Amino acid sequence: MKSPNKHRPGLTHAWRATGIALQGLRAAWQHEDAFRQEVFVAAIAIPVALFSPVGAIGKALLISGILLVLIVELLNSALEAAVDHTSLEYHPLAQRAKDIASTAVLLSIVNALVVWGLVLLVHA
Amino acid sequence: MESPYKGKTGMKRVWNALFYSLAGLRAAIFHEDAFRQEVLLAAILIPTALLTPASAIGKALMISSVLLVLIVELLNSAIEAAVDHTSLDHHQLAKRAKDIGSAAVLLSLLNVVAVWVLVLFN
Repeated sequence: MKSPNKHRPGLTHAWRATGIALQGLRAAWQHEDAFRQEVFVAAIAIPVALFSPVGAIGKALLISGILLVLIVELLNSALEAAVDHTSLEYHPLAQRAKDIASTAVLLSIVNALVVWGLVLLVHA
Repeated sequence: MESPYKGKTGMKRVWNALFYSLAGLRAAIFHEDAFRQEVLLAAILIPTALLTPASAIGKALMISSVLLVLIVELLNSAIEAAVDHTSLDHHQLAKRAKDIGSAAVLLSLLNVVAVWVLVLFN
């Protein structure tokens, strides 16, 4: 079964997808306090990573660690919106979906802390 | 509350899970134009990464960043299918779920650019 909301294929799709993604970033910024906070952290951490004396690979690891938190937060927010779209009533499976997705965000933050700790303390 | 569709446990579950995963991969290749494009991109970028003069760790980082795009696209496609499963009507929260999922894919692509630029233009 094909969703009638699918977009056109090919490069037109890639171009439109970028527009949709930018609307998604705007929506996440407007509606998700956690995403705003993580963007603030990224805005500080990414320049810090670029100026730390850890080599190119160290920098790539530091920056990826931060971007992964933003990526997982966006997937978590998308899933929350999908669950709320299904129903705004309380349901144990809705609760579980949201709890598990937010655990994924927590793990991505732990990953960033481990990577930053190892790269900055051991490598520098 | 437990979903009635939860299956087996133990090794039997691992085996079943492999088949569901392959079915998911086939569904994504069949239904998702974006996933096909990204598989094509990966088919070019992964051999390229292996041929660059980057160190083994540099190559591992470059390849992981490409695989992360495929992973995030699959999660995004799964969320899209879940939204469409609920309802095919236009709805503000449906749009938000899909837009934000697609923003995650965009960031994973930016991550590829950041990692490749840092590793290659050392």
